[in-house]
Amino acid sequence: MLKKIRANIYQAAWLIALACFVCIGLNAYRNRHDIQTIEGTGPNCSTDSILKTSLGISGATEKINAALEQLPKNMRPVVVFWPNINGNAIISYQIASYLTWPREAWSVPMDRMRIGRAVEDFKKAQFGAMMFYILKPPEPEPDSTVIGAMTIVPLETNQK
Amino acid sequence: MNGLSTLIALFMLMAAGTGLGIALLKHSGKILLAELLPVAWLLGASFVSLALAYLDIFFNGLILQGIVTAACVGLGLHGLRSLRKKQCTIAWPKPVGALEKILCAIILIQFVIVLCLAYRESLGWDGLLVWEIKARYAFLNGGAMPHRYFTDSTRVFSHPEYPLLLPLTETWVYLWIGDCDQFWVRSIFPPFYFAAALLLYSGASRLTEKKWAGLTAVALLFFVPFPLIGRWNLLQGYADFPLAVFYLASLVTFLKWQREPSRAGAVLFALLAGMLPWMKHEGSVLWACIIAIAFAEFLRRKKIALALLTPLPGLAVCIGWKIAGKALKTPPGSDFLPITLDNLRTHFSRTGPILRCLRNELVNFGNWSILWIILPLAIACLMLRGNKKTGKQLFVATVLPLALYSAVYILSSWPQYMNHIQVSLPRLVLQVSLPALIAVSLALNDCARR
Repeated sequence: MLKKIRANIYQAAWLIALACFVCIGLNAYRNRHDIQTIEGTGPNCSTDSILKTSLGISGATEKINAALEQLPKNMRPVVVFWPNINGNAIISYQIASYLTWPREAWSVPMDRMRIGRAVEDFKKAQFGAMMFYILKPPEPEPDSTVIGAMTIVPLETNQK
Repeated sequence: MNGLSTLIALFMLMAAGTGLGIALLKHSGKILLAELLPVAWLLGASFVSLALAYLDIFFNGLILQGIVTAACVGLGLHGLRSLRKKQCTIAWPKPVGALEKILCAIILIQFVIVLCLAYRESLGWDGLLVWEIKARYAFLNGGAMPHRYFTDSTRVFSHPEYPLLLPLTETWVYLWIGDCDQFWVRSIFPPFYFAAALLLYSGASRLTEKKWAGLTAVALLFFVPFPLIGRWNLLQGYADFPLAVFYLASLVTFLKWQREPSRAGAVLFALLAGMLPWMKHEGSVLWACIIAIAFAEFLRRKKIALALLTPLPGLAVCIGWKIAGKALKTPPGSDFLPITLDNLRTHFSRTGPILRCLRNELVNFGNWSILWIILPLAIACLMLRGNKKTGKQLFVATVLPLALYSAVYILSSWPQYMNHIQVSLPRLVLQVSLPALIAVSLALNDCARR
């Protein structure tokens, strides 16, 4: 009799544990954090989704690719300027780097005050383009393409 | 059209894996489909990624894709021939009784939810910028990883030193689609969940000889939230859950071998364990742990040849990848300091905070429900009443990797090592969560027997 009672208690304990397991698990599904959902069902749905958050526009991947297509095929590196006070901005640099392959993509975290000097230095070097995330080029660039919070400035074009 | 191409790519992968799986499981005469399918998925992904990695030295483009496709079809046909010659049969166990039918219905609903979640979720940071980036660059280079990528100092953030099982499986999909497609490439992730479910079922039901125990383990998997809705989950393309599935597969294969020893079973175990370091660097730690568990058993049974031979596939992968890294001049990862007495002494004071973080993670119900609370109870039940040896082995398989992973943070080179722990510890815990579910279902069976 005692043995049977003990076995029943044992089984009841496991049943309660299982019930807790299921309830707590379900509760987590209810309170799940906001997930990053895909942007459409196109081939760039993940990068578009991230860039929509950072650049503020839809279909940004295709637009960046189109701007990069305008550059000569000499594979000169590009440089990406991003504000060093914004830790989250690094993901925009990384996505830009992801898209600019096979060109090297240099990362230059910068503050607004010193960008003029840095841009001058990179213009003198052998770079294919400059990309500015949130930051703006110090002087208006006629060939630049603005894609939401990103400005792409070619340092050479197919015609040149 | 891209969807159809993806299906063909996955079908080819499964054909190769099924051929290999049948060859390694046919000794038992009757193969359970629930055992064959996950093994086929894991072996197929391993085969395709290794074939692409090695053949890209000589070929690329359509020739590379053609050769790998021919090999997949050949392996699939070989498996089919074994079935035709009646060397083995394939069986699908039907649910018997109300409990099993209810559990099956719950699991089917869970699978549908997994597919719905997978449809909506975007690739995450690792999924895109560590794994898919490699697949993309390999595809743009005709299916072969471009050598320049490994030395590109502007892309070190994407960890060029990481192994290629997952990226090259994604490249395989791209080769069939003929383009990079971030939408369809995500279709390789739900199969890892289904493989885990089938492995939990086949493992727990084989070990307990009760189907309901296996079904319970599968149903409980869904209620561990981290793999599906955690911050760094499977559906975002992170490699930690696939690594956990390989670990579970090698553990289940070993436990089955322990009950029904066979040479083919040992080969399957060695292959599955050997793929752990090919999935992710941490796989080397899991590989060392599972090989240590098996080594002890092989020695106890005086199977010296097996003890010496089973580590070979894993060693070949580790050494091969090291040599490739040296040849390609890949910069080594910079997340950890070198293991020296000085470094250990200097940072030993981190032990306390690391253990506190581990404790906090294990009781994070939002990630794990109460899995880690009931695991010690389950292990204790198994040790005291059920199968003492299996209990011990499951204990080592879960606790030893966690201890080693935690110890490694002592040598973290991050300026704020606590940040390093916060962004990676939950993923490391995930890697050993599946054996914990097996332990729980074995303990439940013990409870029901009383």
